[in-house]
Amino acid sequence: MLRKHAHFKALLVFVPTISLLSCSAPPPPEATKDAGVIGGCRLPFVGDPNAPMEMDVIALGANGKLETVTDGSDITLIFPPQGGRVLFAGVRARNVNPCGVRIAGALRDPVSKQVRIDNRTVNLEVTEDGYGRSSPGDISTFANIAVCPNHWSDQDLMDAPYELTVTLTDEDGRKVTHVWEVVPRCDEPGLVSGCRCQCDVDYMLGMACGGLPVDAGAEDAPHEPSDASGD
Amino acid sequence: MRLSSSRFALLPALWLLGCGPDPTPVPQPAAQLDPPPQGQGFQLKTGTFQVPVGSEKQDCFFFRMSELAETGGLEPDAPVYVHRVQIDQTEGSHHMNVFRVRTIVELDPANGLVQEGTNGQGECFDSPNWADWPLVANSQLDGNLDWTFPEGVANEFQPDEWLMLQTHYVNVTTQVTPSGEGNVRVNFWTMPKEEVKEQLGTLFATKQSIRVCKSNPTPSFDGTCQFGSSSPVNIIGANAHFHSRGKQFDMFSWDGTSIDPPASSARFYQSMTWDEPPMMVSPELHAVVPPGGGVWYSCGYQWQMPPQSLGCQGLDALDAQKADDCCYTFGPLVEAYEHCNIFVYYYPKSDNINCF
Repeated sequence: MLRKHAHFKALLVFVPTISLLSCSAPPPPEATKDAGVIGGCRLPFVGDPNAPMEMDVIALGANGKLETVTDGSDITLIFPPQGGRVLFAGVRARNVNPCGVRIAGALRDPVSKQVRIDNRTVNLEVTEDGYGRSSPGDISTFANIAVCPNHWSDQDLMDAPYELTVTLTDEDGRKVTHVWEVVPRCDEPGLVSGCRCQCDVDYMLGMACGGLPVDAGAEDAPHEPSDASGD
Repeated sequence: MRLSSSRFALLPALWLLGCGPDPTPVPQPAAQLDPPPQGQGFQLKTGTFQVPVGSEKQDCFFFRMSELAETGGLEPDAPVYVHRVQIDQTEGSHHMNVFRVRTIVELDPANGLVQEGTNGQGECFDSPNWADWPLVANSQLDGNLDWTFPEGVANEFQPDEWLMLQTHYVNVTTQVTPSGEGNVRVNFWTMPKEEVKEQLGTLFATKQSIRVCKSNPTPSFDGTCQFGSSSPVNIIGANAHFHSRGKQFDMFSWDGTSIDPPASSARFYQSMTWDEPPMMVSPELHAVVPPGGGVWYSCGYQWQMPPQSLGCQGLDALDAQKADDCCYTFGPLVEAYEHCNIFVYYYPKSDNINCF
């Protein structure tokens, strides 16, 4: 999903095409049809339903790989499709129903106590080793904690200690929480200068980062634009 | 924007796209809003543009602030202070936003004062192009908005600024533009600098990593955004934006430090109607946020079968993750994508704030 802008635009070309299908037999509109019983999650329970839920905190790393987060871990500030910088904080859990779990992520500035949050309902990916986890190929299964542009913290977002809280809640209300001290880092290859600019404590919206677009700093390697669109 | 019964009558015809004569457009007068009297403000206007059946048009219109001021009989080289906004849009508007132009990426007024986008194509559809452009005004309502800010509150503009007015008209299944034409006029009424007591600020937040999928049919997403103010903040305008899978959109006053959802008593905005979301403004809306606080927002969805002309196959083709789960992801086209955006107006201004 990250940085596939050209591919995304190509897909958009497909939209008017598919809207022209079924010319000879126009079907009735279904835009307001409710889902009813259609759809739903059919993943099996992962682990022992009678055992306490277990959870590790994981995060997407600089190269898109999963990293386990514990006390003192570095955590990568990632350039998401929409711009800015995001911490992708997820879970790896067992003894859990993977359907419709709630992942709540929060990053707190220990200086000001200010916090940024992202909560979301997801299905966990079931892995062969018997866990349900946030999927490394699907950023929507992680708490997307948007932290930069930085106009909320009293310190730089990078290279300083922050408090990361991740809570997993299943559909039955069972809950497990971890709180770890982490150090966000601007260490995505090719995207360092823009990260350090937007995550600086003195950044203001619209501020030119070194006179260059915020994600194409002098020491940054070229990269494709994001695949996000929107209005 | 609401789908009236007369609009439903048009819907079957929309499925005949390209297969027969176009439906007869319903005549509709263009936006009628007169500009403010000389010396009292200025007007942004798009003129009439075509929104053919089966299309979504998103166009970006650029205006140089000094020229707007001069046209309005104001001093072109001096800041202006806007304290009243009037918006007049013809039927079919999905949204209208006005931004201050900041970092230029691919959407550059130097490339033309009008830059059109159709069915997702064009730089005017590509939101990273205006990621750091502060919001000035917006509306998702057909017809008119007329909002005077509280006494002494004004939005300041410098003469060397550019403004961008973005229109999005929809003429497809879920929304229609009966006349086949769009037209927008926006009036900014000014006040003397000496009467300005507080500056107006804006906050825009968007949650783009959303997915509404067949296997996870009732997801919800929460986000937060701080004002960054050391004094209490007064929220005097708010509206939210999602598409037809959207069921409930809430905004709460938030202290900036709590990770538990705010109490319902802190809610200052709620939308249960995707196609005509409320635009709440002062004096009816006046929510106070404590120092260091901000807005907590939540958007909830109910997955639906897409229109048959699109189908799950069409959605799957648009899903960059290729999950084959009939997912609506973030994007501008009403029938194929979803949104989770908030627009908030407040004073005193600490900064213009975008959370994304």
